[in-house]
Amino acid sequence: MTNAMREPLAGYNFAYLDEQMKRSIRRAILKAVAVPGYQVPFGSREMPLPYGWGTGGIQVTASIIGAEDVLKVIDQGADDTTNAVSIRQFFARTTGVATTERTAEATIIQTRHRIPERPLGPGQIIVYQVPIPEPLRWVEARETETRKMHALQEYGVMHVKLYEDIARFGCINTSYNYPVLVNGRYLMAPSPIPKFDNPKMDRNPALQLFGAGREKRIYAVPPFTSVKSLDFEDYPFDVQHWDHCCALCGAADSYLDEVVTDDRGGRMFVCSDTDYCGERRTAGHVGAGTPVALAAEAAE
Amino acid sequence: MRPAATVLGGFRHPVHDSQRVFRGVLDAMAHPGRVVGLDAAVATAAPLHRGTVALLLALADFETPLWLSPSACNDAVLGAIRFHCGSPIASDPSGAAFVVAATAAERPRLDTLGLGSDLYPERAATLILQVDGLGVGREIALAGPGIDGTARLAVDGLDEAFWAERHALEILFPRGLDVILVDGEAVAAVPRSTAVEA
Ligand SMILES: [Zn+2]
Repeated sequence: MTNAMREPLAGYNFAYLDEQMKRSIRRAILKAVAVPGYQVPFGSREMPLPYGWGTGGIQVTASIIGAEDVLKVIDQGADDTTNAVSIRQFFARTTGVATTERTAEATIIQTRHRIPERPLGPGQIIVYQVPIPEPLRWVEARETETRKMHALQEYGVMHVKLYEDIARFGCINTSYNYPVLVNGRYLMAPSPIPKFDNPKMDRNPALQLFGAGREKRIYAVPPFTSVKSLDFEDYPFDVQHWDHCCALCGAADSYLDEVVTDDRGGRMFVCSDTDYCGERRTAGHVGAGTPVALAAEAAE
Repeated sequence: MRPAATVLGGFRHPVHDSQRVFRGVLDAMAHPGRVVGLDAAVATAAPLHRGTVALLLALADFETPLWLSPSACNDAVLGAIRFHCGSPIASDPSGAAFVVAATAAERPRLDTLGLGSDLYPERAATLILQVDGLGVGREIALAGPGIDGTARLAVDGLDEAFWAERHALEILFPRGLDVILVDGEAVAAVPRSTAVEA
């Protein structure tokens, strides 16, 4: 499952970025680690992939990756989506490093929209692709103002916004990119992961790095750092739950995607994390297998 | 005829050596108090340790003003920095992005260095401070991000005043100073987010 290291393509600098750019990003990463959750500006470069393809995450990965790393790239939990495949190929071509689909074998995991189900370990680095790094963007559009709010730790407006959700919907209606407080100090956007993944960020032994290309920001959560989802005493933070287990592996503890299985409305719930699901099946776990709608019809 | 001044060698493989040194210091910064070997085959220019030279080669360039403590301000060191890094040499440590102190006795008072601002905390300096030993000597307790509970860092040749000054900066967070201690090719980091035992 791990693809061995190869000679990188000639004509590129290692990992595409020039050394000057890497150095400047590396300095930004070190400062980001020293001030957990604070967004450090950096001089983003044009990358040979369009914005929205994770150019911020790619630049972070390109600045940290070395010949001995093993890289995993996921998009929505899967290694085989177009976005993940393109990024993996980009690094395989420009660095020659080994790539893998196994969470356990990766030293660097670049991700969009998910944190792997398998707990990350010490020494691993997870790099998040971030479209909008500013968690206060929805309540204050001006960067000069949000910068001041972070400096003064003035986060009351965020609580007001969440409370308006409760007033309107009876619950906090934010299910992705749910804001967190890092080390009790900085409000941070966890990137558009489902809030199901938020608890995984808390006191994680891995180093978590975040890159936003268009907005030119890098931020970080060091290992074993407190990451708390905002909530209220009477409305505590809660994650998504399903009435189903994974149809393929029977997992009751993973984030499930609903997939359509045929053109007659058949659908089933399966793990979004394809490596986790595959690992469980290899270990002998079996799901109910039957698409939900068909099972319901059969029962009638 | 006078022979041309030899410039101290840089990295043998600049791309890969810079990356490896960076990952070493990233590991150190992400795990305050952890002693990390930088594994850098670089020549030293006295009084700089190999780790200090490796850090400067990997991280310093024309964008990062550098301050050198008096004993490090010699022709060999200045020549190497000019040639390999191109960093402007700061005459006042308060304006430097990297502050290099060859010994604890030569370090500036910590609160005179660039501590960043509440709006731009990333503008704070990084202090590269050479010590007599890491993993030996007086133990200090560290806590905070990157540390599972408490870490203990043993440092030889660092005075009590240093830790007192460092502790006094903690209330200024997110302003502060990120410190990298160097002993030979080993480094240990104490970023500003770390609480040190008073
Ligand atoms: Zn599954």
